[in-house]
Amino acid sequence: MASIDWTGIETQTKNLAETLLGGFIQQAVSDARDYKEKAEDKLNKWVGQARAGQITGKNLASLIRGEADSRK
Amino acid sequence: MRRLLNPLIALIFTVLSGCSTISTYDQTAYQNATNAKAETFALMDKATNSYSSQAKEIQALRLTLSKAYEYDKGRPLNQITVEMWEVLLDPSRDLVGGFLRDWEADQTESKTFVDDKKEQIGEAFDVISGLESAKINSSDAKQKADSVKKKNPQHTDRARGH
Repeated sequence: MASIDWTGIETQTKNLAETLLGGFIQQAVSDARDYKEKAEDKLNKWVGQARAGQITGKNLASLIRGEADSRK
Repeated sequence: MRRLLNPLIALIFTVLSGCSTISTYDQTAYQNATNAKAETFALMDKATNSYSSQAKEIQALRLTLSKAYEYDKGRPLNQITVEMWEVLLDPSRDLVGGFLRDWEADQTESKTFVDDKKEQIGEAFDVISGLESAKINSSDAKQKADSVKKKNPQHTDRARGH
């Protein structure tokens, strides 16, 4: 019976897990940054509209709460 | 070594063929979501008019949304989509349900608010239809299972007790 290189399998599995996990973490950080930037842009737009009297304070609150709801 | 491999192949086959944790793609559900979005947008455009003047259309939209929600609720392994619909329609939140609540209370809404809200609600609808379109087609799932079976007929038959 051929001997199995368990140490090699273990090392390769560990390397693969690290590569995959590293990719997921990188993607998650990039998505979070992207979301933060978009959310900031929206918030600035809505606050500007409220200041200009184009939307009411109630409208502004609804938009902010709606943004949170859509991320649930 | 074969003793170790047989259960492993059986496990892979089981995962690929039978242990799905999410429903497969459903064309009707996808159409329900995209139609509901279009109808919601059409009605929201009328929110610069009084709520009471649009009562009939509002009732019709509520029915469309309710049908779409109930359809998804009746599908197995579809909890994520059902929860998305619930957030979207809940009158105590601030997406479609909340918009209709505010429109009724305010009687009219400004065009700027309607446009902002349409963008927000549209994204929420897109998440529902996007999830549906990303689900695997049931015929594709069967093909994958058949292909695994073809490659390992002995192992998969043994895994199923044949």
